[in-house]
Amino acid sequence: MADERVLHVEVVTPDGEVFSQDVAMVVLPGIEGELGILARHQPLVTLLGVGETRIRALDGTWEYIATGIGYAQVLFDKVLVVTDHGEPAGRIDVSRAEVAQRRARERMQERHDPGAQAEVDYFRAEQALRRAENRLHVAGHSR
Amino acid sequence: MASLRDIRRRIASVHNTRKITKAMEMVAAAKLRRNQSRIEAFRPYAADMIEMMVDLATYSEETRRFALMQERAEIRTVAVVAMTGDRGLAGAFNANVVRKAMEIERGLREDGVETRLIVVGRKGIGTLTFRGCRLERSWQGLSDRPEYHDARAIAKYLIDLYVGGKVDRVRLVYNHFTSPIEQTLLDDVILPVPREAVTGEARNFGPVTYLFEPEANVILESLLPAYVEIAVYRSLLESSASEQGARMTAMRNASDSAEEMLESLTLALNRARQAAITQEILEVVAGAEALG
Repeated sequence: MADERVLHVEVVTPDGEVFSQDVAMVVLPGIEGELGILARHQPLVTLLGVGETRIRALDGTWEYIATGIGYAQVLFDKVLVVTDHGEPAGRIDVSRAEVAQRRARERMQERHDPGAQAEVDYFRAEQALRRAENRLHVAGHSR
Repeated sequence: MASLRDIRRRIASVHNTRKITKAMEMVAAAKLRRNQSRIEAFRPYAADMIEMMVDLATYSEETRRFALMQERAEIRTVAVVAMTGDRGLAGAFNANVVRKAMEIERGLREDGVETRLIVVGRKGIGTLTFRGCRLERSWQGLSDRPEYHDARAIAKYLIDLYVGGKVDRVRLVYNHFTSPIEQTLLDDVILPVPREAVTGEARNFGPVTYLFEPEANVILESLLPAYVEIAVYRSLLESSASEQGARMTAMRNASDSAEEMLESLTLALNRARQAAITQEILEVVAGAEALG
């Protein structure tokens, strides 16, 4: 089709931009459910939950990115995803993620002494566990 | 006068010290470059996040009600967060932060405000504990390579303190990275989230009608903790870069001083050697004369 428009997707994290390409479609992990975005989508702002951002490239192949919490903004065929972490499936180190998952679980079980210190450490471990699980889930697609 | 052997020994020792300070200078320079590029990489995320908050705030009449933005009518307790490094040998870097934090604390206490001291960095923890300060909470091991989730854990702790009513304000004392040879001490209020932080011209919400999922003010309220996280993460990164910059300068000065010391020691060595030779010649001549 002559007038077929593409969608530009950018994924921005505190460590820099992890993805920036023209694509056919993107599926975002909104906190109220998944959202599929195509070109000509209405302007939209949505909150994202920890999950998987799926991107359909122009050649029809799928790419998967493990993304964290943040927001996405859709405006004039441009999708801006701003999230606290983002790792393309191909770049996820599975064995490292497994180690992180195990360590986080152990830390969470050690939560016996009360007090602020333990609470913060528990929070950290919980966050680490969610990140690790998400990475492993997303990495599963590329294998 | 020092003997030749003593001078030689000192020269060798200064030489070794200079090797170490040179190496530390180079390591600090490399780490500084890495930190600078991480600050660079972080900028777009921070800008996009803050701009979105500003845009959302124009849609939302209720920012006043957000727990993180409520100004307390009476300031009874203030948390002072001091960002220091884990290592020393960085000139006055750590001492400056500690002094500033203690100054602020004293000022607040004179006004009858209670303070809670929170410290990041082994050096700050050491100094403040030594001076008998009670630390509410401390973190160490972050200054070399701070990660965003470290900042989130700290932000979460501060938010809990604030929302739980244990403190009425949170101030952050840290070194702003101006240039590799210049650091500026800053003291920012990060909680409550300052109203100016989310007010401004909406960037691109003007003519188009957006769909919000969920509603704009719910999105804004959910994103607000990111403001605190960004402030903490930025200060961690800037403090880390400043620390390396300060260390680089301190080590360069140390290397220069070692160089000067080597020069004067070499001069002293040569003089001493000359004196010894002259002495010997005099003795030989005197001996020959006595015989003749």
